Amino acid sequence: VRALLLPLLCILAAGTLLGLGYNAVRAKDRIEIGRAYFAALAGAPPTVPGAGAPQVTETWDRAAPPIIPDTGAYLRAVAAGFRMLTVHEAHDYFLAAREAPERIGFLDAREDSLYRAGHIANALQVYYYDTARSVEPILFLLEKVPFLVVYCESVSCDDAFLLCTLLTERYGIPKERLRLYYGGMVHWRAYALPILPGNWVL
Amino acid sequence: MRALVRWLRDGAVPMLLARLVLAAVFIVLAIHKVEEPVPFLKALRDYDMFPLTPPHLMNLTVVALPWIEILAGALLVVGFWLRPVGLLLAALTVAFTAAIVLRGFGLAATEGKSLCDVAFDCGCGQGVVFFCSKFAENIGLIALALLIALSRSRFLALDGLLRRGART
Repeated sequence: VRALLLPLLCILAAGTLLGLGYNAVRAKDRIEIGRAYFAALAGAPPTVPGAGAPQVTETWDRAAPPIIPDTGAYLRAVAAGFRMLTVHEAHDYFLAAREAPERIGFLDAREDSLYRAGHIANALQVYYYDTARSVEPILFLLEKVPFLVVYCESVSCDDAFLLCTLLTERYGIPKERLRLYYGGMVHWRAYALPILPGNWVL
Repeated sequence: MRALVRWLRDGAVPMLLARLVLAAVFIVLAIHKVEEPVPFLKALRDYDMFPLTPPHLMNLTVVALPWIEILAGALLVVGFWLRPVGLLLAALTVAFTAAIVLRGFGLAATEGKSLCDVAFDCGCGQGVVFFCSKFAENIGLIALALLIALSRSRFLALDGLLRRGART
């Protein structure tokens, strides 16, 4: 048994030390050991009356009643008190942001590759999992802009909700200033709304 | 049948092949996880294997496990501590396969699909995979790891050299 246990312990210890060492010096996507990345997702999602299948309507029909998604991310965000935006409302904010970019900012909560492939025009990438690289350098901007529209890939992704929670809880941005556009890039693309590829450089 | 078992247990070729294949698979997939830790973190959350709070165990697993796999792969290549490494990789793959099975059954039930039509990001560095192919692949990896743990061959292995050195 000792002949097996000693090598196993050595491998586990050496691997852990190597992992911690590399994690400490990596420039990007450093894992914060003590950070509860998914604390906001603990427990079963709450129920919201009238929740149904999250579908994109085939026509740009503003008169149609908004569909209430039944995904965990949506239900949790509603229960947490965030103001949710449909794709129509997000588009209104987008047009308003063109007129007054100092008043409305769009935040893309997705990872680098998805952001580079195409994001809502003029949206900044704010990656929830790498705050040191993506939140802290632009915090001065986030604190100034009165309204921030946050989105991720689709109605099923949690990252926009998690980012909203982080911005309120860690960085003290009031909930009232945040808008969570829940349809994400999937709805935005479905309506052929303006998309830009590449990085947005401050 | 007995001859086959003896060949697998004592043969140099099966052991060497098992070591190289397993080392290659674990090292390549671990490098993906080292490069992109966030998809691995998200996958661990989806597997529901760790408590979300306190987060230390899950986060430490994301940081350490790929390096443990790289280290184990390197030891397989040089042929050192072959039995413990084989057992370690078998145990890791069994645990991961159990998690995949639970996730696959869960998704099949919620999505109303047959098990083999279920696809998800396995968090193993391969992106989205189909349940049945991933399950079959893991069974193969477990078999190779057990072969390494049980084989007597030490052909082209540091273990064998050290043993011979100790005898002389």
